Amino acid sequence: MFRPLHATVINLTIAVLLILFNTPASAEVKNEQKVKAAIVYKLLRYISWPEEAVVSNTINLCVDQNDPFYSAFSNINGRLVHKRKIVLMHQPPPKSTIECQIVFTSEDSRLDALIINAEMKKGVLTISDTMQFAERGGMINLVVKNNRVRFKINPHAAYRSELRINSSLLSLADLVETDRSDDNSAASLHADS
Amino acid sequence: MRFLWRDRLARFVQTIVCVSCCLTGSLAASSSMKFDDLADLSLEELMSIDISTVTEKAQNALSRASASYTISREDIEHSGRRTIPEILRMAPGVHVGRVDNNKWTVSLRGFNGRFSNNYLVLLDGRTMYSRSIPGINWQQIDTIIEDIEKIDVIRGPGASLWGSNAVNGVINIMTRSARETHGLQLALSSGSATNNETQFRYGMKLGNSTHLRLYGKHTEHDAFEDINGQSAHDENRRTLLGFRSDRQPDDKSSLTISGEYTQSHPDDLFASVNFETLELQVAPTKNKIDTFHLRTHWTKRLNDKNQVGLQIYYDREERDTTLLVLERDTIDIDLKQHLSLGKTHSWVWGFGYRFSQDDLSNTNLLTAVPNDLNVKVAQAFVQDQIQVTPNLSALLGVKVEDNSFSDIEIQPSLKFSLTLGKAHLTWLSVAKAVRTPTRVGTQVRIDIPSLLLEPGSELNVFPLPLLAELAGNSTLESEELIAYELGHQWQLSENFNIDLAIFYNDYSKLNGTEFSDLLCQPGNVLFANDPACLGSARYLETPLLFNNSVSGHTLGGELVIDKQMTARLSSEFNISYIKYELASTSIGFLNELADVRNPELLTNLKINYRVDERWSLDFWLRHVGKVEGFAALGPGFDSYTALDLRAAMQVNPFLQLEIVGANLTDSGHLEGASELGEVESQPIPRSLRATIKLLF
Repeated sequence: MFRPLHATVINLTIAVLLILFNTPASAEVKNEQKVKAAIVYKLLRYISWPEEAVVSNTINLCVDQNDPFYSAFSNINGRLVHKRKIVLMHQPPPKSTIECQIVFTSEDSRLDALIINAEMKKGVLTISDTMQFAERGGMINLVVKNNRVRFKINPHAAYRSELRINSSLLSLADLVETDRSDDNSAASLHADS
Repeated sequence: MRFLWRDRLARFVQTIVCVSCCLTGSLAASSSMKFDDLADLSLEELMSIDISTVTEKAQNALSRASASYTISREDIEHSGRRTIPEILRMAPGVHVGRVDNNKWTVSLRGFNGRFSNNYLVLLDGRTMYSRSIPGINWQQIDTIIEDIEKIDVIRGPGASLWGSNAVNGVINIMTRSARETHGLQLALSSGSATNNETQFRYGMKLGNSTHLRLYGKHTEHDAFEDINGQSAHDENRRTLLGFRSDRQPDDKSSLTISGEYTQSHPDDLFASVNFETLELQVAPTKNKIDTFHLRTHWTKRLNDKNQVGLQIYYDREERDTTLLVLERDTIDIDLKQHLSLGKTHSWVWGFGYRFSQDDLSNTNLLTAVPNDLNVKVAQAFVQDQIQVTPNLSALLGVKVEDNSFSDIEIQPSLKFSLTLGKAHLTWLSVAKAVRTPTRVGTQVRIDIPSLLLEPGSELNVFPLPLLAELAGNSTLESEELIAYELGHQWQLSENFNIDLAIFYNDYSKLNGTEFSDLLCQPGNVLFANDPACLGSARYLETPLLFNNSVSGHTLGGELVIDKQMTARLSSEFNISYIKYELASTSIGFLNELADVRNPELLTNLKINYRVDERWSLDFWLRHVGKVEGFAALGPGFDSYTALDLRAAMQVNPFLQLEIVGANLTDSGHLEGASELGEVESQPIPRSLRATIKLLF
């Protein structure tokens, strides 16, 4: 049906593809990952952990070593939040028994289902940038909207884990509700500022 | 001949590829953001950073300094409308009239018509403007509405950047990246007097950095009812299948490949002249339009100050309609580079080539000479943005273009922008733009059904019926515009913005028509040679030769007031005004057409209310002023006020329900007409539509 012009188009497409694949793949951290890591760092100051979850004077951030975000998070290793030091741990549960205050998994890692489904200890904050993470029971879900990083929060999931989220953080987030039977929890979260 | 151009094209492409490779190879500097800098920003600031790798340069005052209006994805959703012309009704300066169920007249800053041809429409970088048939065919401008990222409506000339025919503005429609459309989305929509629509989209991730979406849509528009309650025979069946893949191997480069196939059957109630009875006959007709395109767009950021983009696309259209039987292949190549030099200068330059091969068949109404034509457009542009002082910047640009229909066109622009504090931005611009002749202006003859004039009528002094035929004129020149614009933007607070633009458009050499030889028919006897032929003739025919006899100006402005009252409640008001002053130096028909096809005032008021996490309510009221009539085109249209209401409910993360009532204030009003009078205008009815959307 289509004339030989078609062939020209295919050749051009191949030319473009060749240019692209000639470019060496970059191993450095993507801007997107840096911005997401910076946002995680910034939003930690709006979270308070229950007393019993704090075993040492550190906030342990657990990320799989193979996760592409691991190196982005190395930039916040050692920084202080609430006068406590952030320590980057390279193994997430359930592989490890290390006490994690935060578990992060990215869309490039396959662990998020395990993290949501695992019986999380109280006081563990779960963060991910996978699709529908908050809807599926995760706590903080980083999403890209109009080329900008936004986040969704599932306040009920956080409440069940006895984490407190400052209301000014909630006001910046899109809230996701998965459990409407427990309406008091939302009220108590909003009151905590 | 065909081989010749293909060789030339191949050489051209090789050159571009080599240039690109050299540019790619010679770079070293890195453009990464530093984490420490990011950590110093507030959470809100971090959330406003554009993380896209190679999008246009960072927003600055100058880039905001224009009469532009952005329709975001949220705006589209809140409008509840499911076709692009209907969505455009919200934009200031844009007049949309619906002719019947499948035809629209859309114009920017005046000159409304079904064949409006003095602005550009781009859909993901592909031009939807055709130089074969005049202007923009809104029937074909469609995609999955939910996947539109935004529509930028830029009023005022954009020719120094976008090229010829961007005279009154540019409408730039962009769809979402495949990385943002993962999952399966199904939508079913059904309504009264509108359409049934079924669509799917499936998005997935392929490997580490490649994303793909596949989509399809089928719409069935039932016919409207005409004024007598009979079928208006304007059904439309349309199927669309497409894909888009986005690959982003690192922060610095991106590759988009997309393609789409569409088939549509927009039917008409078509008016034509019966040469036996010399009466206007109106009959239902069937049409078929097939389109296909394939596009690649590649960008590479060499460093913070240097970015290259290359786009290549192929487009095919097969049109089998009562007015036009056309086959057209187009190939387009564009290269663009952004370069920042020092702190004050920021350059953008580029060049491109478009080749179109069309085959226009003769029909009962239309004769083309020649039937086959190759249309070539080669262009280059350069633009320099100069930061004169921290508050004052200037933008100088020029585009040089060589095309098949006119001489070399040089289209410059000059703009100044001044910021006063954080809240005020004032800008001033002068620009030139041209509209080049098209095949219809130069090589085509069309019988105009609306110009069958009875003896004794206002425009026909002869005792016989007079039939006019639009006739192409090979000496037709480009229409020219010098536009003067002034704008002010005032940000009263974070959530309260006022945007005012005023324009004075000085047009010259606009298309008009003039009577040429009056002929006694049948027999083709020249009336001037033999006035007695009136006695034996059945009717008179006069070719209306296109010329450049119309000049004058338009004056107008647009005001947009946008206020986010609370996190859940937002409102927008906009008003547009236009006044014409045009005159023709020749005697013909249609010369004063522009005056009478646009209302002076257009008003929109939109209120969006997010009741809670689940419910959302929207209110949209618009008022369109009276459109004056013109003898040959029949009466104009009364002013009307239309109200749309929408209620949407997010039942759970996977399911959304929506009910939209449109045109609720009246049971039917006329609002748009084709300037050739070949299709009947139908009353646009009140409608109610329900949509179910599922996302997995």
